Amino acid sequence: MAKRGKIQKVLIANRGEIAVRIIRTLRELGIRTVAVYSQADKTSLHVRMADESYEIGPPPSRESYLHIEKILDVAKKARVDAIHPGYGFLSENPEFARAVTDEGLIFIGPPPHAIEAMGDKTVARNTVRKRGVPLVPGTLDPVSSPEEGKKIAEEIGFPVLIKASAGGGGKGMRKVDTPEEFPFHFASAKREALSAFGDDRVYIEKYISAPCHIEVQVFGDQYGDLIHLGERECSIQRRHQKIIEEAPSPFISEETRRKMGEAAVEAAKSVGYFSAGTVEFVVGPDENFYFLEMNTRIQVEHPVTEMVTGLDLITLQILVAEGEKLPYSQEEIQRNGWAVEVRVYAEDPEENFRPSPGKLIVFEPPSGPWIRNDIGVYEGFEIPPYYDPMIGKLIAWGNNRKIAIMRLIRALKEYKILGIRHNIPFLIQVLSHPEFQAGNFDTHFLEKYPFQKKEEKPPSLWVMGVASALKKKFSQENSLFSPGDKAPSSPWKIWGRKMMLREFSR
Amino acid sequence: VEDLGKENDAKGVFPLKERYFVFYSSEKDPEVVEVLVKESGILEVTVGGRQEEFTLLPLDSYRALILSSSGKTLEVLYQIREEVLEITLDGKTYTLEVWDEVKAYERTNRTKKKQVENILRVPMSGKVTTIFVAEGEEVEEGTPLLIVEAMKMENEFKSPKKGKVKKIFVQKGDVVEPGTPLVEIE
Repeated sequence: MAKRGKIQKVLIANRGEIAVRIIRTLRELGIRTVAVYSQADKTSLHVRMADESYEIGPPPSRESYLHIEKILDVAKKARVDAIHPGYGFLSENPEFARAVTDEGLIFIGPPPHAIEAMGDKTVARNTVRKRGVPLVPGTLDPVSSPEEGKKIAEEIGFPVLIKASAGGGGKGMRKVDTPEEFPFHFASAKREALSAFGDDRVYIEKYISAPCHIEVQVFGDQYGDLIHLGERECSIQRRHQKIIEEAPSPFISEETRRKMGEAAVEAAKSVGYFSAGTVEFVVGPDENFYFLEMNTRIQVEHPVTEMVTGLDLITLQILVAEGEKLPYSQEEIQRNGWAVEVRVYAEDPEENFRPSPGKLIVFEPPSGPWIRNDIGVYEGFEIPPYYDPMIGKLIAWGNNRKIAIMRLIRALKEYKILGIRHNIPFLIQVLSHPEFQAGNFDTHFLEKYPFQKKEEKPPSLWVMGVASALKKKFSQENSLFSPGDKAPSSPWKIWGRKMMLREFSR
Repeated sequence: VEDLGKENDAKGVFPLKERYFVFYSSEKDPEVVEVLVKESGILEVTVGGRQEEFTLLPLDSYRALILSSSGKTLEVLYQIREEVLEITLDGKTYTLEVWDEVKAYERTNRTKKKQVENILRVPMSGKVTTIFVAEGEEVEEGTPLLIVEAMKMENEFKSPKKGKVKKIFVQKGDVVEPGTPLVEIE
């Protein structure tokens, strides 16, 4: 492909599915790709896909994916033009964005001052408020001690939310119902915030009941032009972690949609924003909306916006980073149909969503019409225990909501995973719920309708019969199932021998 | 050892019905499954008076296709983890133990022993970030004992019972593997 633009080689300062997704767009644009990886990620998919890759340290994020100097060293060594931070890790760290720029490299994202203004959630609230964007009641500054926090929480009125100033994704966020619980949750939130973001400042916000979480994708260029690409509905959350996202939202009227879009653009303009950003709102049942925060990065759930607008947001990020003007006006942004995304996690819903790292012995993601997989793993890969448990996202498009949901359920039922536990049974349960399908839900949906565990009744005849047949197969390896051919390294055979030896030794 | 497997070889000689005991829950008695190998490798399984016939075609070491005589088609994913058979069928994953008569008896006794075990073990790999209790401390059922961080999430482990903390096997900062003992309560 012919060379284009200023950017010809990009370092992706991330891992997992988002690194893979970014690499794909870069390849389409004919841009060379550089991966960085921790010692735990040597065989990760993003490393396999990149043109070049460099190790940046031990498994813990703080010594690898959060280590600014190491990443910049690689950028210099590999002579890249730009760095894409993905989401999480250093994506919303203004020092990183600044350090990248100071090295004479392009940071594919918003300007450092905008990250800083929005990244400090308390500064953000102050800034957007001046533009007339409505706010949730709460502290305008970080809270330092549990005593001070408790006092403020009492003034606002319980329940309150403790949130990480540097936060996002529910990390370091705690709901507190009573003053007695406050110190415990305060300490716990600070600890988790420090671990996730390297910054333990927290603030307090009133907890709004029966809210929807709706966010607006905005996009701006370096010349002050800013548009929005519509909203995403993200109310299906477990412990403040989004599980299912869709575009558009089934709740809001066209009127509210327009107002939220305008408010989002105002919020972004208040900090001189450019590149991709997301303005998050809580929306009450009355369709009143309040600014929550702005995420100054590409979002996990950006594919649903891509599916309904037909745009590639990473391409747009690169164009804008190169100094191009936004190629579309607000009027040119058209929405078509419905897209729903689920996040597939290595978590066991049967065991209170306990993380389940391990080797993916079988991993067959589904495909078919209007199905998109954004995945960071592959069959045979050992999921390390050090990072986020999300292994991929599955997105379905349909010309209406119902079709998109049915398609997504169909695809989830085709997903084949063995070796780790995962949340797919849980995702199917939620998508199949009549209230979800009717579009009647808020952020409390999963508290109201938690995961229904498998009943403790005997599994079906098929499960029992097949299990016994497999057992028989192992115990008679070469006689029944492998007519003539030799399967020397069958795990059944090895297991069978082990079992027999064990029996002998008794 | 090789020859042992052939002892039960039914191929082309005479049909042999075998009984297996499937343990699907630590609290429940196993289900009895009878497996009969018929001509051309067709398996007849009987569970609770119901019967199905199928062939089991391995696709690779972890996947097999089930083609039933009634036309029903299923794909099964399977794996052995130590003594445990993990199978995925129709999108659901089951952890089962399948034993013959003698071993099923031993297995039942083992379960009974396990119920009086007081050692809390970590089910996944992770890092111990916080320990809330000290040895000798009295705890209630549900008292938070420690936090193990895995995949950036804090996982709180609570006391399974009321009692005294007899021993803490780990220290803050320890990296633990599945099965590592954490705390003993007496």
